[in-house]
Parts: sequence; structure tokens; C-alpha cells
Amino acid sequence: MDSTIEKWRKSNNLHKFLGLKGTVISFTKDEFYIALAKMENKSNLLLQIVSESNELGIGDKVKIVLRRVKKPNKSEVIEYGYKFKKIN
Amino acid sequence: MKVYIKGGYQTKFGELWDKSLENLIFESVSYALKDANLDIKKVEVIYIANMLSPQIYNQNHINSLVSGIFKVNIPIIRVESACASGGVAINQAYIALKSGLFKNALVIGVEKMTDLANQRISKFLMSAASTEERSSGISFAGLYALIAQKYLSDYKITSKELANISIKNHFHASLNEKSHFPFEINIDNYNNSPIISSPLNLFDCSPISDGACAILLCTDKQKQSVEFASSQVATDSISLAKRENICEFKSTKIASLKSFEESGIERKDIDLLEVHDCFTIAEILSLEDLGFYKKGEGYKSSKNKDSYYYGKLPVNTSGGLKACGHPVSATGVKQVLELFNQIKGRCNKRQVRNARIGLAQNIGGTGGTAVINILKK
Repeated sequence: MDSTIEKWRKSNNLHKFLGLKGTVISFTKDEFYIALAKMENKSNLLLQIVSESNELGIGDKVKIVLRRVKKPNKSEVIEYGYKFKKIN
Repeated sequence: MKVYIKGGYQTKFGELWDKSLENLIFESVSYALKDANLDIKKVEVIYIANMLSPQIYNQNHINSLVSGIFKVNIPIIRVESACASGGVAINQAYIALKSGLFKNALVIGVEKMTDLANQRISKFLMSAASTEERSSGISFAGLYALIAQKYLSDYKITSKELANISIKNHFHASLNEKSHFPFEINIDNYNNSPIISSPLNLFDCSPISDGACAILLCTDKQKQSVEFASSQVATDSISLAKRENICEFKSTKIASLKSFEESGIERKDIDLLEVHDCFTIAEILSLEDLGFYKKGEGYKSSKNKDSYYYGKLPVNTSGGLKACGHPVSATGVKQVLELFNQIKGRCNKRQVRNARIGLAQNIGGTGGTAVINILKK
């Protein structure tokens, strides 16, 4: 589990990939809906899919959006991260 | 310097609630020493493979644990490379003997995984994956499901081809009394099983098992010994997601090339294989990455029954990880012991005819580590 310090360190870079678009390489429904996409900056990212998008297909276009990544307990820092959202 | 196997022993793999980690170590080593006709006092160095004891039991320093069990003070080294721990431990023992500094070595692979609920174990297993992969909430089944999803789409095949792999491995396991699941399955069992991570279902996934396996290596040729033709390790990035092509493991390809180069053996000389089928798709990838089947055609090995013990190129006569079981660090050692037993003609109902040269491929994570051991008569 990330410490508060790790979460802070990660949060400094959160702006970098927001809004970035990509193409789905593969996906699965594990405990969550998850996709692997090749982004327009040539990097690959593995992220959950936002609940509104549900399943994606190989070749679908996605963009990165900001989401809360887990429900924090009373003493934890609220953690934000990326998820994929399908775009047309 | 040539390196031989003198003997070995595998415990039953399964849910062994009455056996502790120490029990499994003691049982596998005691019977392996008996098989090799060697006293523990004559063993010069021990390599012990174990991945999860630190997380499950808060037990590090496993090598020292072994010292206490057998009351020896020799060098004992713990080796960890996720699911490749066993194969890599054998590789390290092989290198130690090749150096001439030791005349014999004991290799133990042990894993005790069933004392906790599967969900917790699944989380611990994700320590073999990257931080990003863990943050996504994906499991190992999910990572291999990503591979399967892409593979099925790229090569236009259906999950029925995955079913054939599982059916074949269960058939072999039904002939191996040490296996976790010593029973056959059919296509209906496969089709009716629950999805774990689409498109992989229960019968595509190797189980969580307890078990241990121990083998003795030596440099002194005995009448009944089998020789190492080669032992090679290669690595790749811890993250599957970051790789150029998720449907092949560069680590297997590189280790494979180095193995054939070191041994001077050609693929056509190989009589049988033990490959890393942590998930059915992984067996297909292994056969292709090892160069035995063209890309996109690995599924044919089971479809055409070539991979059955009586077929052209038997694969996983032990039952593989799927049906023999997958106590993580014991698997790599079990694979090599299976080759040893096949070459010595000790496999009874699943005996491969004229087994002379065998290849074992053991993978860590999603191909972050690959180790290949080739044995010959």
C-alpha cells in the first residue's frame, strides 16, 4: 500500500498524462474493467475503465481522465489517478 | 566440467493443510537424498527457492531455516525470481558446480500457499508484477487475460483452442499420483466453468498449491545419472504493459537461443518439454517463443494431440502447472525432475518412449525472468 509520501510524490506528476488519447491494444474484465492502450505519446498504459464506458474493444479510442482511485478511510489521504474513458 | 542429476523427489502437490513449510522441506529433501543414495552430511551447498514465505509467514532468512532443519552449516542460498525461482535455483547450483568449487549441490523448491484465502495470495503474487500493474487493480489472471484477448484476436482463434491445452494437461495429471488434480476434464467442464478474467476461465488458470521438490546435482558421473546439456537465464522488463508485443516473451526467446547454443542440441533432437503453463495461453506462447511452433500456431500442439505423452512432441507430461499444481517455487524443480524421471524411464503410465533429451522452461511473472534447463541421457 502506498504511503502518504508515495501518494504525494505520484500526485506531482498527475497532470502529465491527463487528456492524452490512445488506442486499445487489449482489455479484460478482472475484478475491474481494465484496458491496455497505446497512447499518442507512444507509451503503453494499463488503467481501469470508467464505469460509464464498461467494456472496450481492441482498436477503440480512449482518453485519460482524472478519477479518485479508492475510497480512503478516515486517516488516509484521498488518492487520485487516471482511468480510461471511451471517446468516439 | 559436466553436471549430472543424481536423484530427486516431489511431494504431493495440493491443499496440504496438515503439512507446514518445514514439513515439506524435510519430506522432499529426505526422500531426494534417499533416491540419490547420498547422506545430508555429504552435501556441499544448498540452493532453496521460495517466493512467498516473507509475505505469508513474515519469514525471511529461509536459508537459515534449512540449516536448522538438517543441522548443517554449509552455504545455503535462497533464490527468488517469482515463479521462476525453482528453475533459477537449479541454474545457480549448475553454475556453482561448473565452477569446480563444489562437487555436489542440493536444490529445493518449496511453497506453502493454502494457509490463507485465495484473495490474499493473489495480492501477494502481484508482487511479481509492476507498481503500475498493481495500481490498476489487475490480478495475474488479468495480465495473462490481456495476452489471451489480444492473441485470440490477432490469430483469429477461439477459446476452444485454449480448452485443448487444459484437457491435455489434466489427462497427464490423471496419470500422475503426485498431481494436485489427478483427474481428467472434458470440453463441457471447460465451457461450463466460471470466467476468472475474460476470456480466461477457471480451467485456464493454474491453481494455488502447496508442495516441494528437491533434486541432487553432482559432478561425478554415476551409472544412473542424467546430464545437464545447458542451463540459461534471461530477463525482460517487470511490466508486461510496457512491452512492444505482449503476445511473446523476449526472455524465453533469448534463453532459448542461448540454451541451444550452449548445448549444441537442435530443436528436432528434443524428445519432450515441460513448459510454464501458469495459464493455458502461456503454454501456447512458450511453444512459439521456444521455436517449436510458428507464431499463431502453438495451439496446434494439443489440437493435433502432438503434445500428449504418446505424441510427436510431448508437453507437460507431469500435468503442467494447471493440473499438477503450481506451488510457485517448487514448479521449476518439479519440471526438471519430471524430465529426469522420463529419461530414466520411471514415469509408468505417462512414460514417453525413448525419452533421451528434455527441455524445461520456467517463467517468472509475465516473462520478467525465463530459465531453460536442458537434460540429456
